[in-house]
Amino acid sequence: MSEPSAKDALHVRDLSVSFVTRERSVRAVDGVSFDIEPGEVVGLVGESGCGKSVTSLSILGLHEKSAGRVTGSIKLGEQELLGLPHSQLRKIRGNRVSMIFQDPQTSLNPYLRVEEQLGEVLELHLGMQGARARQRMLEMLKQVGIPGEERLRAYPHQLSGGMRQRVCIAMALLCSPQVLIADEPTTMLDVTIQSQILDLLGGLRKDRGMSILFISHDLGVVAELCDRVIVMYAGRIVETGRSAELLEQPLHPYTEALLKSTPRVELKGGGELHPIGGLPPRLTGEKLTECAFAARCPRVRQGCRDGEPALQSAAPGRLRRCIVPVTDMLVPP
Amino acid sequence: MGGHESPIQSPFQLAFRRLVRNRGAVAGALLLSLMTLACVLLPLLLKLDPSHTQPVLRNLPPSSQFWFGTDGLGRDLFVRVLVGGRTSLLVGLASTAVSVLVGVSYGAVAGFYGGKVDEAMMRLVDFMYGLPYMFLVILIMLMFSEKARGDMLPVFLALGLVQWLTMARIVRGQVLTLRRQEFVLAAELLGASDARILVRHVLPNVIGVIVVYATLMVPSVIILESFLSFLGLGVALSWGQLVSDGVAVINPVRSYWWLLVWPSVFLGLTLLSLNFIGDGLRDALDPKART
Repeated sequence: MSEPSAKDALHVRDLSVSFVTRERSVRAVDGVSFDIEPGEVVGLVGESGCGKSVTSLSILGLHEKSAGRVTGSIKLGEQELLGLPHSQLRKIRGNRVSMIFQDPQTSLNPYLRVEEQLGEVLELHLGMQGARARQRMLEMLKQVGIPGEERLRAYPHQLSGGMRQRVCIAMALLCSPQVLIADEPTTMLDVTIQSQILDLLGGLRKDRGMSILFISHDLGVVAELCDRVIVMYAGRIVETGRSAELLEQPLHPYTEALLKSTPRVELKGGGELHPIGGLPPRLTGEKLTECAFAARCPRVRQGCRDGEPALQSAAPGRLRRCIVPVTDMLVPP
Repeated sequence: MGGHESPIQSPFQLAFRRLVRNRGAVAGALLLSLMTLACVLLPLLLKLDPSHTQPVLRNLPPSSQFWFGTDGLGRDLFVRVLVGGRTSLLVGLASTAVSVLVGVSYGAVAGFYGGKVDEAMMRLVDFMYGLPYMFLVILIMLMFSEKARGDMLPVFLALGLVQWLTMARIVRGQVLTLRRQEFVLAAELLGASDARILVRHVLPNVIGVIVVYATLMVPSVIILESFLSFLGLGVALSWGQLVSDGVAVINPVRSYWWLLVWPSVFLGLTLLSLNFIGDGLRDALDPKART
């Protein structure tokens, strides 16, 4: 392949995205920084509207279409992606950074056969056509678990939801990207297909050393697949850490509340689910003058409303944005 | 679904199957093709001349010699209806083609780029909507007809250029929604250029709507042309002109009814079959219909 085979890490530094309309501006993402090492799977979790998808879309420069203003830095290896001209960005999209979406019903063009959809990527990025392209598509489809040449000639409506998502994954992987962004790829699938897709993504990571940014609000799925987890709330990172540790012992009340509201088979404590009361703050104004979670926090105390806490190290490999002492987090609120 | 169809079917093939099952649409298509064939082939094959006058045989009612009768100059009305049909159908098709070409490209660009581009482009459409279209048509016709008298091109242009507005609006709306579909986003994320996305991913998904609307546009263009002919602005022998002539000779003393009835019947049948076809197409291409 023409691209360097050395795997590059993805570095996001101080990323902020705001949407400006005539009446007001909304800071959807506020000062987000994280790294994804080669071969690492990082989960990005948080409730709807917390900025997960906006973060991922700005990595690929898609915010430009929706009047978003982006500041900060997004680097793939040594290359800065923010502010890259459209023509350069096109070469990276689908080639070095790929993306799969939530809804496999709508992410394939209903009027194109599978081979036409897949072939487009090969033609665009590798100039590959004809028998060679066909061969490669077949290999790729086999890898994602769709064997058989006849599927190449199928239209999307002839495939099941799981198969379509596999085709989408195949399409995203055709050019062997270094980073795959998966925006809730299993949310619309039923559970058996979900676990197949997760196995597939896990296997691909192992075989290819590909980094994955896995966006989800399903903590169970994240626990299964991800090495590290980033928890976002109101456009900012509130906690990060290795997924096993973070899910076992959350150090931020929001993560804690999120876990309590997630149904799990091995649920302790009578198996009751606790929804998080209230709504996230509106992000229209200026800088926050208090912790973004204060209004909903069961552990809220003096000092929480005096200013927004900084993202600080709370334990080895753990960052959090909270002033509640770590020892207090170990006992229930 | 039966067991004998080929396993791979494109959305268009499925739509075609639904269309063929629609009796009204099939009947309309048959009638229209029959009429078109007759209008195009018969005058050519039989070397019929619509302006051949026979002063002795003026104003004859329909008979076995002159099926549709003759007019005030002794011309065979059957021949004139056929030749007039050729003009009417040609005007209908060509003007629709012009308006589809203009309307689709205009609407697609506006919808695809959205924002200020869309705003500016659609305001122009709104403005043109506000103008009385008959006035526009007449203006365009007069502008062209100074140089090219008897030429049919001005008619195509004039009618096409007032009909594209609705097409542009429809296509723009469709493209606007498709633009936000994930497969378009996906194509963009996979590095496809704007032109490629528009031609390969967006437009094929709008074709259904375009086809339906174009089919329904043909009759309205034919009527417009007839209306122009009726007003005396037509350029060639057409159904509208024949109807106009027919109306002119209606008087309480003697009615030459065949001069009015025959062209009207042909005009009506054509419009009816086109509407049936359009209706059938609309049902067949409805994305929500799944059989």
